[in-house]
Amino acid sequence: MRVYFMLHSHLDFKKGNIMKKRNFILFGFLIAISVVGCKDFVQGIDPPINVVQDNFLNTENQTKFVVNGVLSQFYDAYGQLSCLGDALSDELVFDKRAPNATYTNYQLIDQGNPEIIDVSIEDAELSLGRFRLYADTLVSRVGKIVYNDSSLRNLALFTGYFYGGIARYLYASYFGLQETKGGGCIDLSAFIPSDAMYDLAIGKITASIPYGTPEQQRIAHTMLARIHLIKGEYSSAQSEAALGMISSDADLDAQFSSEAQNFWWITTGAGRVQFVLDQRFHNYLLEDPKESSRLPIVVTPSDTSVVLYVQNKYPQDASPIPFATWQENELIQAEAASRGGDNATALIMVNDIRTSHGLDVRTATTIDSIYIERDKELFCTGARIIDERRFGKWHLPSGWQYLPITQRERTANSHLH
Amino acid sequence: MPQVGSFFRYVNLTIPMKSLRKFSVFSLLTLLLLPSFAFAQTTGILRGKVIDVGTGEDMPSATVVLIDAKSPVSDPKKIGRIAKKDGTFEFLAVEAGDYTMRVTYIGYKIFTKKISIEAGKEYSETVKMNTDIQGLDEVVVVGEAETRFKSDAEVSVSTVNAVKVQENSSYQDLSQLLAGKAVGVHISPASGTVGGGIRFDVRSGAGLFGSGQPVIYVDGIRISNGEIGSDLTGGQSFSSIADIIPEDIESVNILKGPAASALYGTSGSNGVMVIKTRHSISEEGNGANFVYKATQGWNTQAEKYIASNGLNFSEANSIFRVGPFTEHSLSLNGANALFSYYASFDHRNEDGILMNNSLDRNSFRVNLSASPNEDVTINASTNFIVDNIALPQNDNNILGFLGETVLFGPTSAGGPGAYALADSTLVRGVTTTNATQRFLGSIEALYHPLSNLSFRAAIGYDGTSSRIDQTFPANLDYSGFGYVNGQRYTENQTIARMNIDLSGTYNWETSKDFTTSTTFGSQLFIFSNHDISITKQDFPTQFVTNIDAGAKFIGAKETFSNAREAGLYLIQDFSYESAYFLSLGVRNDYASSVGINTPSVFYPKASGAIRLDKLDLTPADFNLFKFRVAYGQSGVLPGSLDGSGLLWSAVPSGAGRGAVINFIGNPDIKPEHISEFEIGLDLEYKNAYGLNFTYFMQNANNSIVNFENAPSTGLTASATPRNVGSIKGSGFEGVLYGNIFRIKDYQLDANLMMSYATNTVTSLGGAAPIFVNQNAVVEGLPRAAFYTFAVRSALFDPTTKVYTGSNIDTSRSFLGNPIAPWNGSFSLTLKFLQNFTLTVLTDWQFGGTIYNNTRVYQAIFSNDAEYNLLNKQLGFVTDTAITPFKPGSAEYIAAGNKFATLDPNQPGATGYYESSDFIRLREIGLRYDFTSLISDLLPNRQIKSLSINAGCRNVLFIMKKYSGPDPEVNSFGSSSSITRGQDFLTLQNARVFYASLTLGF
Repeated sequence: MRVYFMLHSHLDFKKGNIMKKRNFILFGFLIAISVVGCKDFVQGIDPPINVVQDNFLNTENQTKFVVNGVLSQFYDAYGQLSCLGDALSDELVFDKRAPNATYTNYQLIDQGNPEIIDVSIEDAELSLGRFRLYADTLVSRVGKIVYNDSSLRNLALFTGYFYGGIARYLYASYFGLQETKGGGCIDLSAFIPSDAMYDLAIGKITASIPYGTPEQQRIAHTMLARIHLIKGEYSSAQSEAALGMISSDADLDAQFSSEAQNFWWITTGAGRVQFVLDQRFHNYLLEDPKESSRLPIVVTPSDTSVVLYVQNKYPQDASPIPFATWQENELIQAEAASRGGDNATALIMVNDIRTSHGLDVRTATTIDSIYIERDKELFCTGARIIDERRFGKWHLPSGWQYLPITQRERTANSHLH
Repeated sequence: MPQVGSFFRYVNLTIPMKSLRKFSVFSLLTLLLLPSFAFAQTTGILRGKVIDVGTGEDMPSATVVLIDAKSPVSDPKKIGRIAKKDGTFEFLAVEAGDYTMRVTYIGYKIFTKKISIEAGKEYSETVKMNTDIQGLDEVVVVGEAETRFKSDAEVSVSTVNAVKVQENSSYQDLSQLLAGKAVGVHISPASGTVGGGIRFDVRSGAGLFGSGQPVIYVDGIRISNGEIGSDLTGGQSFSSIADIIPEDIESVNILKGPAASALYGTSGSNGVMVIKTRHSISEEGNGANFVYKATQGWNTQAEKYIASNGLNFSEANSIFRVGPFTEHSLSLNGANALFSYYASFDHRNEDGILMNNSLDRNSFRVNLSASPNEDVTINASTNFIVDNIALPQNDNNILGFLGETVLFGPTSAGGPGAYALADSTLVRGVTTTNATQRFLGSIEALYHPLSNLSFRAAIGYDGTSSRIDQTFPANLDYSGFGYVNGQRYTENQTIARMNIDLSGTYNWETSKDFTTSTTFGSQLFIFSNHDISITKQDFPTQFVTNIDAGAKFIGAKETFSNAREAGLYLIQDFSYESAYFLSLGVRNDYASSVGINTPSVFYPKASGAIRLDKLDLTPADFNLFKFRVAYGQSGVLPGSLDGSGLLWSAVPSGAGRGAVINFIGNPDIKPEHISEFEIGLDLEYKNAYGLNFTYFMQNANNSIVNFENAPSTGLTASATPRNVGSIKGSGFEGVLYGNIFRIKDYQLDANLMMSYATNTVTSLGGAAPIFVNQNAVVEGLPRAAFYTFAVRSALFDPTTKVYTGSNIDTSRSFLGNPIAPWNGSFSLTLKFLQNFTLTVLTDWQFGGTIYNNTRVYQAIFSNDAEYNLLNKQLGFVTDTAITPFKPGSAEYIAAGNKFATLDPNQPGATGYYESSDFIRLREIGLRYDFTSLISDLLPNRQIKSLSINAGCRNVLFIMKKYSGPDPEVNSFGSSSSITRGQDFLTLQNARVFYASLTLGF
């Protein structure tokens, strides 16, 4: 109170009062101006140049950009999953005799004992989650856009549905909650076992077909055939494959560039060798040197006299990874036929494929020889982990047959607690 | 005894220029009117002598001022004299009346005494000056727009007199200058890499996340203090404060938390470091002072690797070299009637202890202070720095020097041998450089339209342009690492930071005992960062490396970010009888990074102090006995995009550029809110022994926790920020200092600093604990604690008794705090034989833990002798010289349990979590000052000063518990606030030898 009094007594009774009052008016004016100005000042920043707000993408002319986003995320997710999946299978081996094999978590994956906090698996899981979201978001985004160009709309819807199905297929094929319990979660859902997840994939891919070009539709049918085959629905697989890819169709590839590098190349290839190939691939070539056309392998440096081999299917960082081919479509038909007792038809299919690679034709085929044929034909495409499981030929007595759903999902998803 | 008088400087610090002018006019009038007064016998005479109370030596150049007791406090009338060579002074015609005699001298306490002069009488005074060993009578910064004598400060401020400290030592950078000299501020370089990052841990670290680093002002310029460039070397990046020249620094004041720094706004929550560079020490008319300092030094490997650091320790030792360095500093300062100036040039060239590590730094500085009229003073500070730093490959890096040597066991031990991943030519071939051009400039205008009204306007600018280059030469085969026919990465970064400060202060004329002032001010801050980089491979030759010569485009990246902050503050200061001090303040804070739905933030502060010694409530021998208490609030700003919604960016792919989510923001985000309370006691006894003690508590709430969404949501491009967390911290700081003895030509001063600071995460608001490598942010534990699934023993087959694996805990547990809570230092300064000065600084830390990730991988690659032996004892590896233990035997069980704690595949293997406790003899410096010798030989003072000094830094560990070479490093660099206390092939700090010559003329 004393202070209060002194301040005011000074103001009222000292000399120079007028000058000081003027100063106080100025002081108050400055405060008022400042308060108003500060908020405007801080909001006057320039927008960043490398990002755009979500609602700006809800226009027709942004569609191609968004579609490419789905594709780019698919390439990323498939690249990682196919490689890590083959590492978990008997195709790739973590061998410390390869000088650059230093990631010990890869060793655990190879041994069927990956940790649920594995950062490499989490990276792949994150990539797949984003891929699924981008595909599903694309479908809902189309509903907010008035299109003048129907082909653009069809492209968006085909992409959204088809790749939404592919994302679910990848969950069902590569991830699992327990060692032999495959499946995944969609947007914090309860765990969806592989079989149910495959059904979701079938639904999505089926929904894409009306919007696809004839070539896209054949690819969709091949994918449906593959999923039915995995589910053991051989009749459906055969009928879908009949509508699937034909020899004139280009492969559906995951595409890469020097900026977005092929994961195989940087993990087990010319970029760096963390994994080497199982020795059987070398033996395949010893048995038939012509197999080099579909089993390109090279010797990689070794710390010992043991000769180690690494894939050369992806010699460049931009080498594409096949995801669906007409040859696989024929293999599906061959297997379905063989499992139905029609090995003659299966043989025709198998020889079609072999001929396309310049290989000698077979005189007979069985379900076991188809298993080996798939091993060679689908070399380094992530198919082996699926085939080992469904043929009942898992190479280890125990351990994980799927990449484990990581701790991050288990922690954040209350359904998994 | 110091020889250079600094009357002008002192007056400039403490008396407004207007008063100085009036003082001169007053003095002139006094002299002109002297005869008539003498005739009328209205004046008296005052004679005296100024001496050092400890040594009895005369004190030439001391400033003696008589202040007319009748004149107003805000505009006192003064007459002054400078003591002569024998310390005497005389006032021949002092108008009769009451006066306060005030005597000042740098490094000494201010002497004041009330004197009554009667007409016609003659007086004699002997002024006995006490040294001011703790700088109590120096003006320190206690908050935004607030300064005090340190003895009156209501808050704890760490001060470092850089000029004094550097008389005896030579420092590479700010971290070396301050380490062990500022209590409550733990300073550590992330590695021994010259030019690498520096981390400041201030008290308990205030907020839950954020950079955890203080704001740094240099001459009013809010400078950039982060690391530059992405991590190109495995762990370390370039420090942006490596180009602040220690030789230019005059003083550093460190405010250590919101209790002091609240009015600096949200960015000041981790403290504020106020650095003042040198200015003229010459008074008007005394000509210019030239000072040249030359330093030659050598960086050497401080800790040799021994067998317990890896079987191939000799290979590891072979990569180190002696890194020479030279520094030349030339400065010029002076003053004339219009302005005073300080100009300097500094050149430092330095090699680190590893190849490919060097620093080449050139600094040009001009500081000016001018008074165009008696109401206006303008100060300008300009600094241009050209800096080139090269960093070696290290840390988590298969092309690292240490990685290729320390890591791999010899082939004889089953390891792959040194340089197993990359030949030594490949390791040496990679060059990573940063070329920086930086301008630091500020202009400050002080305007005093009335004697008790002042305005300050200041603008500071930090413009940095840096170019980072990394080259893998084409003639070396890096194809196994993905760099085919060489690679070149080049990045250009342009950072601009500008701060504008405006304030006005009104000193209320109340009474001589009671003073109060009101300050209103505003701060504006603008920041922008433009970064562009490009990578290419496939170069035709190593001789042509321009970016267009690379045939293969690998990638390019460009980012631009900018942010703004603003704040308005109001301060009301009170002082009564120079014994009671009270300061109240508020700030309204604005920032572009807070959510668009969030209004401005309000921060209050209050602080007070009572000087019992001034109230005669303490024994007379206590020249300082002060209680103080302070409270303040501040915050930590969200990230620059945190307040935005969902943001998409374009990423490259084989299908062209596609849209992917880049950032997931939160429009409701607001700053973390931090409050700090501190209470302290400062006392000094007989001007010789003193104690400063401060206890503090920090509480943060609304802490920004980044929620990591589940992978299945797809919303994982970034974590979503939410204001849900909280953290609390507390600790104390104590300084015990004393002048042990002081006699002619001999003096011993001691200084003991001790601090304790820790924090506990109290809430993550429902978010999952955050795990980054072995570190974690978990409720109930210190931030960044080591917290994982521990392995403390082995599992054995119940039947065969054979080792079957590690016994991994089923839940996580606390394995240590990477940030040592106990820190301290002890320094001695001994002056002997008149001209010698010896300084010794020892510092320590206790209670911390370091994760020896280097040893983890040494075990994997057969380079750990103990792990190798256990392998053999357990029968996992056959060695004819060693008989395996029998399963089930006590020795087998012991070996198995030990083996499990060293299981390199288990992040929680407890054998790798080691104590980081150490006591280190940090500095020794010896100086010989030839100045008094020269002044006898050269009476005309052609050479004003000459001294030589020699010293050593990181002399030795008196005690070290860590088995690795250096417990202070962090393989994740200095910028990470969570991944702390990790040593993974990180370069140790060097031992430094140096000698300097300083010449003034």
